[in-house]
Amino acid sequence: MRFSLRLKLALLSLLLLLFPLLGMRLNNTLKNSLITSQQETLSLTAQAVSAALTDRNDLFDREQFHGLNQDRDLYLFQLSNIIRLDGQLDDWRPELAEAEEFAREHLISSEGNYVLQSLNFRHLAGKQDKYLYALFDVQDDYVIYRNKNSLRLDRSDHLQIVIEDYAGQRKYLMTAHEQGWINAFLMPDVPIKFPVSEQRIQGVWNQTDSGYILEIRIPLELLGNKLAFTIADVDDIESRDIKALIGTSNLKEDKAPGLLLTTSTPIEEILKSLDRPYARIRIVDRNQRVRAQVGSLRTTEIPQEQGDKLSGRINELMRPLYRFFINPFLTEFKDQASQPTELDLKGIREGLAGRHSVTSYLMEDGQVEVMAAITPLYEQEQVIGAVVVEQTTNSILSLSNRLIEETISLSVIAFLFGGCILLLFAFRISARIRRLRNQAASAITPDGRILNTINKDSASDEIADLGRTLDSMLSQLQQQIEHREQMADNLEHEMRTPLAGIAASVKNLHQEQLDTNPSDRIMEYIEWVERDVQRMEELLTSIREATTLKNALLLDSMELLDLGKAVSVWLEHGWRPAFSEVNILYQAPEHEVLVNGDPVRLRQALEKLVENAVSFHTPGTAIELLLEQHEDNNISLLVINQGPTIEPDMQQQIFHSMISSRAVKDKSPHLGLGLYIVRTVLDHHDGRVNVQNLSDGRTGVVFTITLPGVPKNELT
Amino acid sequence: MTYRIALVEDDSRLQANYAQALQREGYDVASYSSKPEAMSAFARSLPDLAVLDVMLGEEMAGGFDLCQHLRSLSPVIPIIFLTARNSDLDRVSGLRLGAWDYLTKDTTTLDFLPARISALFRTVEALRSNTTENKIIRHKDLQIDEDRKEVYWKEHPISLTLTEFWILVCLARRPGHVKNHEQLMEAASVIVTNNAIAAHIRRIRDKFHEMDPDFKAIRSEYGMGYRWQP
Repeated sequence: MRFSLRLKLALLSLLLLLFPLLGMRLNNTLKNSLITSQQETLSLTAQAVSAALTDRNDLFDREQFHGLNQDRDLYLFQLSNIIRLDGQLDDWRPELAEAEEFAREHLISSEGNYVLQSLNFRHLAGKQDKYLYALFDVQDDYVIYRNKNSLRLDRSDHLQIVIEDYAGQRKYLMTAHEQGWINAFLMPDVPIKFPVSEQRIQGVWNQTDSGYILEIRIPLELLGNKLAFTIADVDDIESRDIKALIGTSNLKEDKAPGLLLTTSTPIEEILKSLDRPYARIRIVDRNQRVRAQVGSLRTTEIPQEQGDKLSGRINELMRPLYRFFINPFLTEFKDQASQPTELDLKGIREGLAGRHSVTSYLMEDGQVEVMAAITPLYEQEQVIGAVVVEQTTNSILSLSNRLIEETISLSVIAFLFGGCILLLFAFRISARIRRLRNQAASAITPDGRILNTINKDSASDEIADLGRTLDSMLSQLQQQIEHREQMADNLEHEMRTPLAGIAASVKNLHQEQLDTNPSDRIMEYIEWVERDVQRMEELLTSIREATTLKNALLLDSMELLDLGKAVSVWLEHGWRPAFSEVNILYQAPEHEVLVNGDPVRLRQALEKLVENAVSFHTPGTAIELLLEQHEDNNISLLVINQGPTIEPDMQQQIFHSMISSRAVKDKSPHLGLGLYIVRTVLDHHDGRVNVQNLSDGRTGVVFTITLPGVPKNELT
Repeated sequence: MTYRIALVEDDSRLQANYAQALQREGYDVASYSSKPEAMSAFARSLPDLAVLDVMLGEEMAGGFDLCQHLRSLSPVIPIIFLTARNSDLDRVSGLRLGAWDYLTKDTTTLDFLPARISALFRTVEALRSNTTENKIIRHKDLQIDEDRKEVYWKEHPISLTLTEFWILVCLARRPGHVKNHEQLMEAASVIVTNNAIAAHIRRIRDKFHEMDPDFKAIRSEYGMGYRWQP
């Protein structure tokens, strides 16, 4: 598998993705340390609160932190809804969940065996504004109303209320003739007195399928610090005897109602003065009942940084991405509306046992995490309650989330930008290397000629260095080639003068001898010398032709000629007479085959090919010339001869200067310049020449010349 | 009268050989092998004709300098250049140094040198005699005075060397007829390659083009030969 440089660099850019990981890690550390510090803060706050309240005996006395009895004491909730006395349960929510069940264990007296269906009820009491509200959701198999004609109040289902204050106990009774609005009656101390209607205690009696609902309202000013409710059940409409009594306090045994417990305003005042924002401070008594509460878990909205439009857009785009990483939390949630009668947090028991602890719990289906610091509250070395300071981790989560968001945003932006830049860089490097490769590849033709130099790269890096190195290699190679070609030229020039001298001397000798009537043998020698001198000159001339050809070609003039006809003329007037013993086949094309070229040079080149074909052809076979013009206007001329083939690795080589694959000695001199001339002339005409062995069953070679033709429509 | 020929050639054996051959032809030959030597001799007396080697010793163009010097002394002395390099031919032809002809130093030099020299002397004589019955070739815009070796194209003189002149004459005598390389070589009294003839033709064309950019009268026939066809 091949990995391009580009791909590799692109993969490398993925390393940028490590940034968010680092960011997450950093964020985690930060979050942990923030949580730790929040824990410490909470713990300190709890201790401070505890210290502020410790040994306030008066306060605790007054607020009834002593001698608590959970079974009897009534706990007043702070009701969150406005209660309408209508016999419906709806408005009691959400505190309704905390309502206490009263049944057998609260049975005060019973005629016969107690049956659950006969009487049981849910009871809830709370305060709102200046009233105490109480709810009794009674299950009663027979609801018996008061007989309108009867003066007795206790001969039907009814509610007994016992209020004790500093002045003593008062007993009220609430009963109904029918469903609807009712008032309480203050029961006389002595039986002979009549009950007095108490208009300030009001209620609504509403019958249900399984019994009745009784809602009542008592002004707080009527209340003391002790209170007891008792539900009396009458089932027999004839006898109208009280069948069962179930109450919050067993008045028969204790003689006194239970304490009326509620959140303590004085303590709350103290807590408020401590001023801990964003924290909820609660004081619980030994029964884990919340006795004071200040503050709220709700944090103020953390202002979202109003960035510019762009970052807002980016944020919007990235939001789906954030979800994978951030811890969601609710900023909008309800404080647990009702305090449970018993605050049962992990750690409360330890707190009540005298130990500090910091704990956390989840609210609202795990969407909100609350951290709570719990510290015992002492009075004279005795634990009388615990301070619970709670705070959501929202602010930390929000900070942490923002950190994550920013990390992700920045990473994504960095990744995009960095990735783009890296990618561009990769493309650039890759392109440069590729360009260099292509230049290097195209600098040398398959037959070893150097066509181009490598463009100098202005950069000063390794790639440019490589380019320069390649360029200098090429130019060295070029020098080598030029040197080889130059050598022939120098050789020719240096030999020419002495050869001219020899020729002149022989000429003179020849002339002088003629005057002295020489012997035939001497004249023969002289002629031999003259002939050899001429042969040498022919050699030198052919070298000169080849070596000066490139320069000479530049001086030549191109003209438009019909190659088809030209070949006929050259064949008829040049080659057939010159090689009369060889059959040269040529069929001139019917239409004109126009090329732009120098006829002398083209003829010279073709002549070299024909000479070459003649000297290699198998005697008795014909040499074929084939001229064709192709659709793309290119013209090809094939020179085919049967005879020895050329090794494939020599097929490019033979067009080089001074290279010959001739095995046989020939009459005429051969320096391996002929095909070099052909190639040089063809180059000059933007043409090509190549050689292949025959593949049509015959043995031999075919030289193919390709020339750009002149389109006919360009002529006019 | 015996013509005096000055031969300036730095290769002593070639010099001796050429001098011998020319003396055999009946000329009085004075040989010099360097530029200063020749110059001081020219200061004493002028030859009737000078044969100059282009390259004299280390001086690549010593012959050209000498030619200019000689021209300054006399505008009519015929000068023949001997060149070893092909590339010098273009310079001899193109520089218009007042050279009348040129020959390459090769094995055939001695075959043609005497003929060139005698042809030049005939021309000199023709110029001197000032006869009006010159052999004149006229063809449309072309006018050639064969004896005086003068060529006019559209009434403007064209300065050709002797070799170029002969080639032109050969073509112009039979307008429209193709002359192949061999015929042209023979006419010019040179044995050169086909390419050399092409080079000569190119030089002739160039000289006409210089005067008349639209000159097209020398046509090439498929590289086989040329014809005069204005």
